[in-house]
Amino acid sequence: MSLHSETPPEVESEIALEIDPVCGTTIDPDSARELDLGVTFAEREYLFCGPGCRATFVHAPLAYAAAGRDAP
Amino acid sequence: MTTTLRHRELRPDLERLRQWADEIGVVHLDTVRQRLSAANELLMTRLLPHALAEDEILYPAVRDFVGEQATLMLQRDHGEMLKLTAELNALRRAACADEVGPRFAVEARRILYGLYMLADLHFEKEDEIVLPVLDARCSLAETADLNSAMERAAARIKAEA
Repeated sequence: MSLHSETPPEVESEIALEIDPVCGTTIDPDSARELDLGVTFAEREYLFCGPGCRATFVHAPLAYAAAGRDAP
Repeated sequence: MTTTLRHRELRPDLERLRQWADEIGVVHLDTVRQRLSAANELLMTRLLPHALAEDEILYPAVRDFVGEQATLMLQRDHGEMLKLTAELNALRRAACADEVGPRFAVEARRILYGLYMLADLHFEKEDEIVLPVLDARCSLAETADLNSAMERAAARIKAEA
């Protein structure tokens, strides 16, 4: 049996999603990184849905980084 | 103003964080809400702009003398402070929306004591690691320039936030 076939299908399809800290949109981190939509600030990577949110964050990173996310 | 003096100026802010943590479970929830808002204000207008100005100005200036690992360790402290501030704000919003769960007091105390301990130890580390380098390597004029640049950066970061 190959290693691939032992992986449960639900695990294979699972994508760890991130939240854009500016607009709150759920995003795929790999796609965001491919499109250069990430910023590292104070030792942490922040990912965005588009260049607009990225630019907004870069202009005032503390405001968005310190805002925190609400509990789901 | 030297970094030491700036720390001296910020120490009462740290004591306030500790005192507000002490009060949780003793004072009314409305007071806790006010304290969490005041803690956020203190972090956003004083402690974090100072911390991020250090990342931008002070650490690059001393990195070659104290070593990269030392400045990375100090920067990580700032990252942790920012993370705890984000947690504080999530909790503050929950409290203001009357969504206080059974672990609210425990979490509020954890965050406030955590910020206090982290910042207190961070000041000690900077006083031991960075200040001797400034004293040994920089003239009074150079140190004054560095402090002016830090204050300008902190003011800009505060205005942007």
